[in-house]
Amino acid sequence: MTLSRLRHFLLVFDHREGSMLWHEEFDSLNRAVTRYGEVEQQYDTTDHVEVVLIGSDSLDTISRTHPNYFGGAVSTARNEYLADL
Amino acid sequence: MTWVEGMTYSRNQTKQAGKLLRRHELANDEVPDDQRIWALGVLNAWRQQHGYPLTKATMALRKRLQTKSLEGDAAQRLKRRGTIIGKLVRHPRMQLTTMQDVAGCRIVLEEAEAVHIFMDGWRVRERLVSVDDYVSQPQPSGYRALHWVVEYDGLLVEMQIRTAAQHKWAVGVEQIGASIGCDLKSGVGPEPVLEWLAAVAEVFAYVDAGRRHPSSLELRVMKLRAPAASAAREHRRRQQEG
Repeated sequence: MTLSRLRHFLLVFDHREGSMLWHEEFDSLNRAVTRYGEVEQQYDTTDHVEVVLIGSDSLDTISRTHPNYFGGAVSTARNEYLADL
Repeated sequence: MTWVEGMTYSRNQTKQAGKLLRRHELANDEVPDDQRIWALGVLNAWRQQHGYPLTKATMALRKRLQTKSLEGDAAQRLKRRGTIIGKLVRHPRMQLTTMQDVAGCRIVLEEAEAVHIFMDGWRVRERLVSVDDYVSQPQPSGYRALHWVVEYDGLLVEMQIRTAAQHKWAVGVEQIGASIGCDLKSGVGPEPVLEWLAAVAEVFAYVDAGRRHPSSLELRVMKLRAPAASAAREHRRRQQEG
């Protein structure tokens, strides 16, 4: 079985809101990386907004490998030990 | 001969860009705007170069997963420009050209046994630059995982191999770090918080080993928790004030 292609997701996360503001999806890695630099520049002076480029087979996988960019899913990363600090 | 195929800037220019960005971060009036813009352009080009090597590494992880019929999640990320610059500031002698994790990929497997099956007898064709076993020798923060640095097309890619428990801890630490405004993952933050997190990581290691953690450890985690919580509150309050 052949592996599916990687897809590239540019995620823009607002730490103040604790949620993803928006995301863009790319098939072309080169286009994604170019756009990454542009969006980072756009938020150059906005400390509470984080821009990151992640690639995987789906956004669903990324919500597990990088749950901190998916506000709502974050709670699943906690358990009785890491809760409520 | 070019030092890295397709890179439009020389090795020295790439190093120079890293130095300028570090200096700008430390004292931003010392670096003129046009120089900073040039340096950011070099950083972007350098990161762009890592794209395909990174994809090859991620595909190698996914292929290995398939070969071994294991369940797991694989993803890759190109380091954010802010964290690249932050790392240059934290390590005054590091060069942009020698940073090992501009390109990073990660695989999260269910448990320690799956990691064992995944790693057993695995050879990559490319040059293996370093192997760090943070499971046998955890980082001072308590961070545990296996890290391989592999050279693809002359560029370094960091591979992280984690169990679900190790991943859960690392993600939790990042989240707490973000909420109190410090980089706990790199060992920066209030001491009581760091101490408590390191103890919690020990509990998670017992989970991975399939053993129940000793009651002395449970007690230690409980004792460390209240001081950690108040140190975190205090830190957050000070951040908000100022």
